[in-house]
Amino acid sequence: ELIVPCAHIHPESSVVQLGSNFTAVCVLKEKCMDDYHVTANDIFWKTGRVPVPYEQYSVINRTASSVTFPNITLINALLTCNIRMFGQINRSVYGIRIISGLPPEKPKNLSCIVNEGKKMMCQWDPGRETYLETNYTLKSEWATEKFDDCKAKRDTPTSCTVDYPPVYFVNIEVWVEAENALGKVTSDHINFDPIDKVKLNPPHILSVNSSKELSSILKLTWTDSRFKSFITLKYDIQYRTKDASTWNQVPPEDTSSTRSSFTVQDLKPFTEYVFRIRCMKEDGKGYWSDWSEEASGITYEDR
Amino acid sequence: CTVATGKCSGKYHELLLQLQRQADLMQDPSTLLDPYIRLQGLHSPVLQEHCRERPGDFPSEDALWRLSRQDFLQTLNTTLGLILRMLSALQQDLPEAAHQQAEMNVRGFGNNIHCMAQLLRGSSDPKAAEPTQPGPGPTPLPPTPPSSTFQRKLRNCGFLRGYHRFMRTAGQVLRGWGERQGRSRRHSPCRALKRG
Repeated sequence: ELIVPCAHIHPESSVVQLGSNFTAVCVLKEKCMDDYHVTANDIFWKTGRVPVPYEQYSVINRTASSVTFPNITLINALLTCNIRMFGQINRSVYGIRIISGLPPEKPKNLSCIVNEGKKMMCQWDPGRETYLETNYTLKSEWATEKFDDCKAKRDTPTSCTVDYPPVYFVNIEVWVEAENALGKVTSDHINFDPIDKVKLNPPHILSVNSSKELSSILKLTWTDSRFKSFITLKYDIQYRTKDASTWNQVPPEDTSSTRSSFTVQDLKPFTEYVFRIRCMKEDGKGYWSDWSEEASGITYEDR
Repeated sequence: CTVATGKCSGKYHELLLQLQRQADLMQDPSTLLDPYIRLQGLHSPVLQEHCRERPGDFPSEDALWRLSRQDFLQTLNTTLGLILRMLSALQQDLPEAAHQQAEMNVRGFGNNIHCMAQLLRGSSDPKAAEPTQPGPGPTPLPPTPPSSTFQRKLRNCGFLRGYHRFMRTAGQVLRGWGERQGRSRRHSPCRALKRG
């Protein structure tokens, strides 16, 4: 035989905004009042195991008692309505879960990156802590197509990697929706061509060759990027002598177009140099690749 | 020039450059034909000799050059529909990554074609609206199913070769738009837009 509760609390389990006032009402059933000889005066409230101060109650009528939490603080507890039977036996007759928190703030600083060979990942600033389970959904669409929602994972709520391959040269619109029990907000939309969000794989230095004729130069060669056939690249080349700690930089204007070799000049003869290189889209849209692995070479002896 | 067109880039030159770059990307056989040939074991020179585009699979270069811009965009769009159907039929015969990327690229191309058509409709560009004979729509494939699996492989190989060729031609026509644009400012959709 199903146990019928002796009372009921309104509202049912609730999520309440931090700092707001919350009132719950417990209404006893007549049968129970008869069985246990109790009225609303015999009701006392608890959050978890902690009794609620008496001043927060008010008896509404013979069967109902309310409890109020002004300016509610952070709470995630079971609020129970209890009765004192025969003046001495305490019994919980109903309970609801109350959780306090904040509605999500409008996500800001939405940005996306397409790591070469990977799918697009976007990230955003979620704003203040909400203390509630908050779902972040990345939305993306072309003029002619909507893509599946990208739901941020619980452990990485501020980023999402879409499940379709990047399509370059097609403007895509992206935004984030944040939702929890207290509200739903949408970030600003951003519209871009994924080609402008690429982070290329670092070049791989193939060789560092000296020159018999000229002891002050070393010629670098590196792997071509697969992207070179459809975008112009630029490079950063840095070098230092083997024992130095600070890097010298080849003037960027000397490496501002797609290439796969470069001769570094004005080096000291018969000295070992270490090189590293990175690349990105020539117009500066997108991200620098990571630095290549370092490679070294020795300049020829002076004659 | 910029026209508010929702998610489409409203900038004619930016959109035209995107279309050209897309065509360049898709004309590259290493994106689809080469992986198909490798996967299907068709890489010997003798077999490749038989991997030829069949006339009628795709609109010819000559036909595409003769079309007005709107008709050209319409023909591209129709052909993309065919390509997507073929790609879905070839799903099992292609490496998954290559297939998925190709399908997305084709759909992205369709997106930009839609945007360009919308942009040109927004302009009273006489060149865009010139009525010409209906575009040479591609014939449905294949009228007579190949007799054997091997024939089917070669048939599909020829289709993919045609796909890359078609994209190369589309890229050339689109580049022609850009060059013609430079020479005949009078026909610029932008001037038409500005005149309102």
